[in-house]
Amino acid sequence: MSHLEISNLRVRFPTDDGVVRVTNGVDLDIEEGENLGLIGESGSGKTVLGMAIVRLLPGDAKIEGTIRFNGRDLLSLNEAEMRSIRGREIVMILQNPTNSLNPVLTIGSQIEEAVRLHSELDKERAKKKVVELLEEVGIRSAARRAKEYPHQFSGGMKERAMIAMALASDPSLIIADEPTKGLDVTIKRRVVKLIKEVTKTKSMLFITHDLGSAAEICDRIAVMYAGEILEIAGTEDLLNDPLHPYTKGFLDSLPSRGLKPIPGMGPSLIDLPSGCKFHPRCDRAMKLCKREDPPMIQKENGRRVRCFQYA
Amino acid sequence: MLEVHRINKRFSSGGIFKKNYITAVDDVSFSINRGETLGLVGESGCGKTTVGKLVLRLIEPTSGKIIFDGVDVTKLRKKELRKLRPRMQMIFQDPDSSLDPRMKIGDSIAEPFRLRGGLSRRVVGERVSDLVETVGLSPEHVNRYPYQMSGGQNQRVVLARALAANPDFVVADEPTSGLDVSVQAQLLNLMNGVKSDLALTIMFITHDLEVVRYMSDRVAVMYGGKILEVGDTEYLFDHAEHPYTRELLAQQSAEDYYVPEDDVNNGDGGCVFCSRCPFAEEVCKNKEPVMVNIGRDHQVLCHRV
Amino acid sequence: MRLRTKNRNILIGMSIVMCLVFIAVFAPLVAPHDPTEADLGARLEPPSKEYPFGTDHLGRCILSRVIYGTRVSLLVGVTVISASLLIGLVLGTASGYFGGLVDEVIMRLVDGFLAIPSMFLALALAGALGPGLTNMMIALIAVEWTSYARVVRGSILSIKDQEFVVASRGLGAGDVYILTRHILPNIISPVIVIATMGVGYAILAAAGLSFLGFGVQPPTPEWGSMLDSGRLFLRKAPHIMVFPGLAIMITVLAFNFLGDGLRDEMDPRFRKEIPH
Repeated sequence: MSHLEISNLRVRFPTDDGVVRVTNGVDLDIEEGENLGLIGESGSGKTVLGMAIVRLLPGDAKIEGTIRFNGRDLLSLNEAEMRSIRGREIVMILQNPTNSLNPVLTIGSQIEEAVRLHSELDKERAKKKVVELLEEVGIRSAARRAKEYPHQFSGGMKERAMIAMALASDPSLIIADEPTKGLDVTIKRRVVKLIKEVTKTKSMLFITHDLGSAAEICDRIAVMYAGEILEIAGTEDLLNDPLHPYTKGFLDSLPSRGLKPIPGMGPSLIDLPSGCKFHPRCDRAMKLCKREDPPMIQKENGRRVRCFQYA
Repeated sequence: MLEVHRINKRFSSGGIFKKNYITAVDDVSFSINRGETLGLVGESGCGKTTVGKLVLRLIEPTSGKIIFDGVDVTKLRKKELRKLRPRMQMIFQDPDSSLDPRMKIGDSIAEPFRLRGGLSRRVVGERVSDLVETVGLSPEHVNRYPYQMSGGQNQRVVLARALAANPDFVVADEPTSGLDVSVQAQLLNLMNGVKSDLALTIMFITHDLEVVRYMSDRVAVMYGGKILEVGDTEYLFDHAEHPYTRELLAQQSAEDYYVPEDDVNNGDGGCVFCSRCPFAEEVCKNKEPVMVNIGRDHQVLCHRV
Repeated sequence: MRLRTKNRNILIGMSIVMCLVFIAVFAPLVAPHDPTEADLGARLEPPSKEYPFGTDHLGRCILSRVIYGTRVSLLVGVTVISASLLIGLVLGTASGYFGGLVDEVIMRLVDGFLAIPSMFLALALAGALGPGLTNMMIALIAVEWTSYARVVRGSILSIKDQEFVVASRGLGAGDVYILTRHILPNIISPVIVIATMGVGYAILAAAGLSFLGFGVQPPTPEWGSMLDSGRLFLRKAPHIMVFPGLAIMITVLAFNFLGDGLRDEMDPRFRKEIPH
């Protein structure tokens, strides 16, 4: 049994302009202790996928499929049961720490809140735990800094505080949504190192558009495009021998690999192309690609790719 | 084309009684040759955006000279400056906020024509559609509003608007840092194409060394409001002398490297980088280094060279 | 503005306001009686077929007086707010855009006005200028313009350093161009919203002043002064106060609904966003 097993997940949002299909039949699994990277560009549905797991999507989202966590289907739980899992066993680190931290409360009191929600510690012990957590994420003079407010923290420090908060309940699965976004290279490298360190004994879904960070942290990487998983492979395999044309294009467009762009732009999620979602931008598209949805094809090393070329 | 001579910018903050000054740009000098792209690299807060705005005099320098095409921009009167403005354009980091949300795309691109005046509506329309094509947008985008477009498309609009002014010199401030990598690649290629077609001179501001390597002929590395090293791009990537440049390069290649403290030395005297520098000696803390020319158009601000 | 809207507040507010405007314009056709004609044989009569809202102490038809009162109220509301808006826009723009000494002078002036309680200021002014429609409006404008100047200044401050304004300056645009092309179109929505609600407030304040005898003088039908004249007969003939009171309430509510709805519709922050 996988630690987390998502099958055929579909999330749709009805809007005035039509139904937005954000994820379209996603299958993913994370093994115990594994770090899975979820790579995608904006509008690929990766954040929505993360929020769907902890059931934090807005009320008008239509969700189908199953999300099994340790064998329990999260989508069938009621809100009270979900609350006993969310924040305790599964923690999501939301994008943009500046918005996720309350500006009028001290960093320490916000982490303390997370500590006390999930444990029976008294105020004294909780305060001590907060300092320990801040030290664990590498914040020096933690006892003093715990008394500071978010605006006194730099971007990298805030991200650390978010990680400390996530660790408060000692979760077994962490979902991190773009934790390195907007950070300078040096700071980013340190945050990546920290995440790698603290998730050694945990499972993680690492959502990002930054392949470099994912490569460093993750055991496997899934590539998402227009609400579908197009390819999943071990990190080394994916970087050295990408199979899907989109993965190849994505890698080639990186500055370090020559900045060769993929022509066109991502599809509108209201009006998705027929067949393979990537075919309008694919230089190897065949007639079949336009007509039919390619299935997920199993390859060696447990790799999977959604492309007719490999059928 | 552009010669920047010892510019400084101090921002004041605080109230009536006690003013605090923050030095954002500290005695910065550099030059850009016609048709060249100079990359300005640094981390956030190092003052690189401020330099970009100063060069175009979108903000006023505290001191220093900026000579653009033989004219000292810092001495121009408001009217003369307005005349010169179209020749120097800036592309900002966030395309969504650099377009007026209540203005249609076509009207935004037409703005430079309208400001120049003397063109008929039909001619403006034609010019706009030419530009729309140049930057790879489709004609139907003209009637849309910025919020109906993606970030990448809006940045193309910003580029088209800048080109409409018919500039000689463009400052691009992290124009792709908010964009997806595949879109970034499209835009950077577009900019390089436009640059050679129109013989533009560009100052490209970024924190991404890989991007700067791809985009620029020469690179200036900035830290704590100062330029620490300048040199020919390819040469600098192989022969970096300044410890900070080396650190950045090491980070980029994901090598394990000394993990530094993240503060700038703001104390009196000494090198700005000394509190973070693994090679700092006594002299670095006490005496400010001076820019040393070490050949091949390669300058370094460090006591060790 | 699109007229096709699903916003219920706008629909309700708009239809009531339209009705009120129609009634005001066509008052002579809609009203069953001359509002100033006294029927001394039918004084303080309760609502009947002849007088649907009853009559007052002079035997005048209350329905007709309420209908004609719409004219005064709308006139006062719209005039006061338009004038306040105009003053507020000019001073607020000068203050917010140019800053410096101009800003300092204007804002201290605003502070000075705001330091005096608004109803007290209006009463004092109305008292000093003497009763009458025009003087009442002047008093209300004196009270109202400050809030518009503040809102306009605040909006301009938040927008004038945004990149699209800087970009336009970078293209060589001057102050007038930037103000009319970029800044005003972007701040006008919130201003329209508070102005719409302001109309309701001004009507209420005008009724208050008239009630206290500083505003419109009898026999001109006005809701506030009608309330005042009904005061003495509250026990015997409550309808004299009830109907103008209802008219005031409905009108103020309508403008508030409209303002609320417009805010929701115009403010992009209320537009739905999907996480990605």
